[in-house]
Amino acid sequence: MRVDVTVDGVAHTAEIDPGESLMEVLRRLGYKSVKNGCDNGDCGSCTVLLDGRAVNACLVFAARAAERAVTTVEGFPADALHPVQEAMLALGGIQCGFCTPGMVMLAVDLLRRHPNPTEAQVRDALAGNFCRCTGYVKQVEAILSAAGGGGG
Amino acid sequence: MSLTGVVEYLRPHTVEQAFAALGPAARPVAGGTDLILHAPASVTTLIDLNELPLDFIRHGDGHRIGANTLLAAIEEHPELAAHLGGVLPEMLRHVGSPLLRNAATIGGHLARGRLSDVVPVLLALDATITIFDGITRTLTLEDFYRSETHRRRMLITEVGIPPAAPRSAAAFVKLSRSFFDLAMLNCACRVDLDGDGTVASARVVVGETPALGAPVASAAAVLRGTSLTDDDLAAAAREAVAAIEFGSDSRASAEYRADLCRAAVRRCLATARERLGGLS
Repeated sequence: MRVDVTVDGVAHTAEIDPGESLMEVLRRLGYKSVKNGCDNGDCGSCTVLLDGRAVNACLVFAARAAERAVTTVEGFPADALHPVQEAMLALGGIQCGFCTPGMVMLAVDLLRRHPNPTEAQVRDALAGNFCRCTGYVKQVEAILSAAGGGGG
Repeated sequence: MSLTGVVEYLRPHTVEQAFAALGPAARPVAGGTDLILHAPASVTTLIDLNELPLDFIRHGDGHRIGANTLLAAIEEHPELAAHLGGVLPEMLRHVGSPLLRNAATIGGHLARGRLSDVVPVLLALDATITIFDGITRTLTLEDFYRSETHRRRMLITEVGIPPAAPRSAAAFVKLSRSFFDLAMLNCACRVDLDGDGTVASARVVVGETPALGAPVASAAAVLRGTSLTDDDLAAAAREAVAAIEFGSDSRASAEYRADLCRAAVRRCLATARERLGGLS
């Protein structure tokens, strides 16, 4: 089947399988920041925004994204990084980088809903985004700092 | 996790059309988060319900929640979030992750009818459910599961939350190995007080026993007329343990679940009592 989907502001017409996940289709379209970590909804490394809400792209049927807007971390160009990305860079909220795109998108959604989150809210929000390098301390600090800096 | 073998994807615009398309090889898709992982290989048709006008939260006599409402939208709704002392967000923060709650819908979750923290709380709130199975009808959520209607050919269209009594509070307790794990056992309760401060009526619901949550009438009955002393809470917990037939699975043994139940019922009622104290 054929679906029209807008990714990072760019309109695509994609030929998809009706049972295919949004993650697979996004990767096929070239959005390789959408990582396949667990393909099971556990790790959050495929997190994208669907009409502004952060979701596991591996748990959403691609057909459901028809005529909706998908945002990946690639929607923030290098010369106009989101405050969350700036803070991740400045505070070392990254190591191997595999979880970072998903975590950034989760944080973008969090800061939209809670422009000034508490540390507990940030930690709750990260419940579905795994990082296997660190203890989450630097990511939490970065998200809090992005909020303090007027992020979201 | 893509499904293989699906050849058809329908987007009906009415509940009647969606219902007509249901069949052994055709499954409805609401959020789709569970189906995409667990659909049987025999499924060849997906029926996307998202074109149906079922994404709403309306306030009238209580609240009516459309089946396509995201779990996250319930968490974010100011009145539902504050209902009976905040039991809905207290419970929802335990359901999957924020990412899951941004995709999973209340209708899809209730249709699944297993592994649920949501069901015990909705049962404690005396929720109703509206379904379409040729006609539109409303039944209590308790009857819906007791009659196994969730396994029949039907579509959920709406969930109803009755208005709160003037002096009423609810609470939820989930006992799991880690925050992220499924519950080994959960408990939801609601207590309504009379004008004199004693218990007019109560609900005690225990879930993941490992069966789906169900009200424990005998535990609620012993609370009636009491002033919720520690002894009253312990008596209710004893009743619950005696009434439930616990089972063993990979998450916990039956014996351990009985111990968990005693603690969960007591804690849950103590939290409701605390919230009632805050009301007076």
